[in-house]
Amino acid sequence: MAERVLEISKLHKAYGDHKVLNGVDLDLDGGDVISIIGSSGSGKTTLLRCVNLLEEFQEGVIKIDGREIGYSNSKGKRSKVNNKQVTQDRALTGMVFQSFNLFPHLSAAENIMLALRKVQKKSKTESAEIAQHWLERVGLPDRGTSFPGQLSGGQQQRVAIARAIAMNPKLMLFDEVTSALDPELINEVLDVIKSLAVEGMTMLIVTHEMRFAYEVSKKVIFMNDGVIGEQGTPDEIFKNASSERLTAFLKNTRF
Amino acid sequence: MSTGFFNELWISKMMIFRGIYMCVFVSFTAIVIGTILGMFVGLALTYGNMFTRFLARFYVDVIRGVPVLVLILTIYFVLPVIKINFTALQAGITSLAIFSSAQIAEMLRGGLQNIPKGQTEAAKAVGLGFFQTFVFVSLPQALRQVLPTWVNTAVETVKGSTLVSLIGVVELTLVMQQIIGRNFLTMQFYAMAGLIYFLICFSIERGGKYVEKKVAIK
Repeated sequence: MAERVLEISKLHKAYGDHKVLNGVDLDLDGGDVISIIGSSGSGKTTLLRCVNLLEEFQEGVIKIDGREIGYSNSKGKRSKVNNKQVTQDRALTGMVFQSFNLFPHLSAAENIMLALRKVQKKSKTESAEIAQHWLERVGLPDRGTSFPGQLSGGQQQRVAIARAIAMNPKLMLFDEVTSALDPELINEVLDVIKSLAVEGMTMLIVTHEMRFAYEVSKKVIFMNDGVIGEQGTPDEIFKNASSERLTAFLKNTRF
Repeated sequence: MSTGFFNELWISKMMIFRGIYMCVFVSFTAIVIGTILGMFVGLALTYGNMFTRFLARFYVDVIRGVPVLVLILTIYFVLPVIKINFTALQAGITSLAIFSSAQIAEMLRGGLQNIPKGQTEAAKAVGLGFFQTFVFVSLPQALRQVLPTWVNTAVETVKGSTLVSLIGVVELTLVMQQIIGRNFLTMQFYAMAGLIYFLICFSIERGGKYVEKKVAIK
């Protein structure tokens, strides 16, 4: 029985009057992969950013390994935890962004090593070894000294994945990581993520790649207007959509 | 005529060297102090709360709106009223430092704010704290961006250093005036002054270009 890694309950998030998340509940067990699909504006990216504490949220609880992150509740009063704690909570998750966001002034290896050294306080040699290990793992063993500007989009994104996972997070978050890529570069990134899934990495993936979601996920979640519209196994979602909204959404997407 | 010029040049060489030294000393000190001061003001402009932002903004706007000469005269002649007595040299360096600090603050703010939001988010996401993000991610990128304008400010400061001659600091311009007062070779020695200033500024610019290339993001 795998332990529960992520537990989201009754998550509410609004920008002013505009409600983005309207009570989302989601559980993720160790080693599982959940994909989140849905049209833009449905709140899937915001959900991911809440888990990484890049966004504040007004209501609800997010727990990682059974402990609440970002906020604390004492005597029924909810308050934000201090910045140091936020930073520590954030380190529990690894996030990969749509636009890669590699640090352009650092080489691929240095991108991976920075947080290993400064956050985990590992030695330079150890960090370099870890960086090299993950560069090999994402298929870029000899690009450690290359700078982001010298890499293709697909290679940059693979370095970004290596950078996030080298920190040894409990949970990886992927935010439309292939949306900014040329079509011919998408598969090299998806293959890396698939291989991580096979190895038992716990992952929450927001994606527009339906076939990928179908192949890699244990469970697929369809988000609609800030709530979970439908959820189930890939077969249930893609072959037997029950709601009208999901059927309409799938009709308009490539599989 | 021309032998007369070279003869005069030879006689005045030590004075000219002292003038060059003073010019470089005043400019260099002013740039160093101005950069440190400008960094703090720039940080206040970027990350400060409303009150510190307002103060920093006020400082930068006022300084940038005032001619350097007025700044020099104010610090030398007006500050003694409130019992701050600077020597001419101190007043000159202080005014030039204040002048350059405002420029540097403004460009640092621009550099920091130009860094894409994704950079700081990625830094946060790998667990870097606010200070670490600033030191290892934002600042290195901002400094690269700011370098060309910083070189500009350094050159402006060298040029501005001529103005401290007006409060009696014996730098290159005043030295030249003194030499001309003795031998009346007006054209030759002003041309000489121009050439020396050009060489100083030109080397700063070349040096800046070199460093720029060296640290450029590949």
